[in-house]
Amino acid sequence: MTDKSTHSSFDEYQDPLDNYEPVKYDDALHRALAEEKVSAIESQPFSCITPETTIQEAVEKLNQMKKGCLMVVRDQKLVGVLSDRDLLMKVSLEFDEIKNEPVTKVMTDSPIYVKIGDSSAKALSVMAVAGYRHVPVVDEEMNVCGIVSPQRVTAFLTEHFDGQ
Amino acid sequence: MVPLSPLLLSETQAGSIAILVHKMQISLNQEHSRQYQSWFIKGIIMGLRENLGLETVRRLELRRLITATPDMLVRDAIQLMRKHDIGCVVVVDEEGKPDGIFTESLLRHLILSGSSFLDEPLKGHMADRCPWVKMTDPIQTVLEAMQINNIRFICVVDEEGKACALTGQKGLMEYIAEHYPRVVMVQRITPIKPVHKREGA
Repeated sequence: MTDKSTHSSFDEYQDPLDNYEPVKYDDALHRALAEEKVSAIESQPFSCITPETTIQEAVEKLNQMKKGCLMVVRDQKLVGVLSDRDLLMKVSLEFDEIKNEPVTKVMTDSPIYVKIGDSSAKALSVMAVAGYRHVPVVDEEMNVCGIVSPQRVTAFLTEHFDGQ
Repeated sequence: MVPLSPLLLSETQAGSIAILVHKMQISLNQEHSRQYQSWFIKGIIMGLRENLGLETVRRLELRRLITATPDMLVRDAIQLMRKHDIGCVVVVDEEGKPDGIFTESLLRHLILSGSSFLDEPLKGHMADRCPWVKMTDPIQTVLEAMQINNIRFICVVDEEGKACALTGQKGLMEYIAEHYPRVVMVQRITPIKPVHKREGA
């Protein structure tokens, strides 16, 4: 009796993967956005400053590095970003008065970031929906490990168009 | 131009193709029509790559253009940019055609030179070449211009060459995101914060 019921349940067993249908993508970019990680877009090396850096030093570094954004980092943890927009809105007319102040006074604190394991689509989402041009990338311990820049995103898009 | 049923694109007339995409009629010139005619016949359209060549700049989410004259002081231009929270002003001539552009990245270089630049006219500090596209150009033009020139903003001009809108990286990202709503638009933007307190009982 026991043997019979065992046989019966074995015969009725269905492999759940029998019904699995692989995800279908419209094109190579669609696949890349869904499957490739942020690490495929992020820029390396990236530029960081400490919260104690003065505004003048930060602007000098931005110009030297020819970058539009610096990450403000303490013990490798992200505390803010300083971008061209911060300079426009908070520094450009007031530079002489505040140039020796720490960068924390004018930086964007609590910036939106993505994790290194996120899909590249998430970085694009931050840019398209939230409107940020530079998106910091952090690892699971919140250590800074890169930045997604507009130039890299444009290159990523054209790279996958060309790959079609 | 012959209006067609939405998404049924196979009509060729007098060297141009008339299509209706997202309730918009877009006229393509002869050069473009040759390039994409085969796609129409094969019926392989409406992917992002094809749409970049077919849809025009008009289809993008265009931003309001903030203009200035060459004689405007840099200080006033900065105030304008702050007021409208935008990263550039387009400098136009008497006819309203783009003559130059002043961006926040140019401003970054000026900041260290002392504050005297604030009371100087824009014409001494702007970029003389303002990248522009026509309203009727394919969106592909914007992507190529951004990649080749490494720029963020592109002025949009009308049929007479007058500056009428602004587009650039954000508009392009929004356009691309629209094509992949299931992979891009549903992404959580803010990071998930850890729960510090136990939920429930």
